[in-house]
Amino acid sequence: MIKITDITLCTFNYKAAPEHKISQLYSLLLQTGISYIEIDIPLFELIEKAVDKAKTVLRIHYPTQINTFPGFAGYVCRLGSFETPMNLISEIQVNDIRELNQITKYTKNKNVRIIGLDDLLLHDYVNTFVKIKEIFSGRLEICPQNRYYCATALAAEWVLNEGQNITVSFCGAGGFAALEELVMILRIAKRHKPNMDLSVFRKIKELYEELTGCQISGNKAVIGDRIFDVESGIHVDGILKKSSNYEPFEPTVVGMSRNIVIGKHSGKSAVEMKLKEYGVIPKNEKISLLLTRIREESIRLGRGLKDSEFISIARKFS
Amino acid sequence: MKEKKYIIDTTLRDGEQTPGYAFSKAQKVELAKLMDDAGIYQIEAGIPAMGNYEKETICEIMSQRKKALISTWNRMSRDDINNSFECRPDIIHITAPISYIHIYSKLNKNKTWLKKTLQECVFMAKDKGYEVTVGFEDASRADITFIISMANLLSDLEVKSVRFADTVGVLTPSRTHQCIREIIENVDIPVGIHAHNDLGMALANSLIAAKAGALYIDTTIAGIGERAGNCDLYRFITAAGGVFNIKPCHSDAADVNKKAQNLLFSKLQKTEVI
Repeated sequence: MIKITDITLCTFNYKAAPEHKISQLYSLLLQTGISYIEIDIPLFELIEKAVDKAKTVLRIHYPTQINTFPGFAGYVCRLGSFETPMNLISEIQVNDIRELNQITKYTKNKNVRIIGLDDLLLHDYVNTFVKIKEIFSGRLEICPQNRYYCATALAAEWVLNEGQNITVSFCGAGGFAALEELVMILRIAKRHKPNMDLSVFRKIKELYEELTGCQISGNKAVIGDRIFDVESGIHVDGILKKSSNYEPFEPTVVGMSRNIVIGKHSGKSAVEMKLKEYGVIPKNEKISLLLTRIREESIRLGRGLKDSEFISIARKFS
Repeated sequence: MKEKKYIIDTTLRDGEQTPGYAFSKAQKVELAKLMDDAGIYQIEAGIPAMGNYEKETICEIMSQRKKALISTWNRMSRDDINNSFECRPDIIHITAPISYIHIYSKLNKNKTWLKKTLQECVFMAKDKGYEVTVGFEDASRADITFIISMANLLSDLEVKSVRFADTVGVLTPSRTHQCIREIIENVDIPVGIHAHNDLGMALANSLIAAKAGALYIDTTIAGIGERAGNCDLYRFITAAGGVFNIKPCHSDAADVNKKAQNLLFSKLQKTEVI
């Protein structure tokens, strides 16, 4: 059973954000197919009414705080201790694979989260997974960090190699594996679909940008605004024949739509399709002249053409 | 001793295919110079079949290069390859759709057609004395035995290397390792990796491919490319520089990354943060 814990809400400063917006983000994250969401004590006190304790892991400083805040699905505490309840997860930082030798001293901990492992993918990660599983008999979770830009890949490999518990954050916030990427990988590689409708990622993206003031890159995997833009002649032609030719999943799966961009790399199919969209009928013999003109204008502007610019040029060839 | 690996930068071809991007001749020539100076092994300079402007650009890149090898990208088409001849590149790269999805559903052709046409194109370029490389488009969704059979054929034709392209970005690291090993263990031909970032793993898959024995790694500046982009040059060097003997070194990669971004993206709206 794959259990994903999301720690997005522990990765940014929410102090200036309205309580209802944070509650909304909490609820949306729970709709992505994750098992648990992790929050800290101040955040719990801020959005207490919205919190579903059965689906929430509380980050605490001392194991004794479990008694003050009872009822959560789990508790996470740095290093924890041996004499603690079953639902306490001890968090151990391992930055470098060479430090892995040190973790044997924590074998008595019942539940463990290993955080870090940044460079593990550079080494024999499959056998390392096996060794880690042998060391810990209880609940074992990993939380890969992204210093080597491999956190998502490591998270995916952990789960694909029968690791059950994994910790991620939306968009990889805070330097972790990206929730939306892992969910999509498991959907494609393992047919794991706890949530059929992933359009919730769009809502999370918008809310996340609003709350953090950060703008997510247009080409960010799975959630970027421009990942379903398509311009090159070969790709447009292939997609129009069958979208799976050049798209790993349908845009609608993540609540998006395809956008044909006209520019330097456009071909005949794209131009004809766009003209049809606007009801402009070009003279057939002038299509190649139109393509040349588009290319020239696009190079002059140093970018693709806006639809209005394209139509204005195209009308001269109709 | 660290294993030697080679960067093939495709910013000027696949990178520029990012929707909305249109580099000028001056930008492309300047970027090629920056990459050449940084010690990048091979620069995929563009697609001559796009027209005279592109051909003039590639010719200019050729005339100014010092050490880097310059390649052109071609479909399996005599016209494309004839256009490449006009640029006189070091390497003619021919892309061959290798998955059944692409062969049957995109092109409405069959495997016999693919073999015949690819051989004709390779002969055509080889006849003129060109070094030829072949890219297997959509290899990650292809039948590995068919890939191996085609790679064997290309090895016999003295093609310099084959490129394993994860065209729609659906590879996982373990699958990447398995595919690259299968080719290397069955065919005597150097292999390259061309990864896309649709699932956020282009860099990881490139790294694993290199570990599995791939000699050539395709990258772009800032990871630009179709959809979610390609393997980011600077980040790849950051992650892999300690493990492989690879150029550019980290400081040169940082330098070329910074200068290239100023050169290519200053005109575009820059809003990206994450």
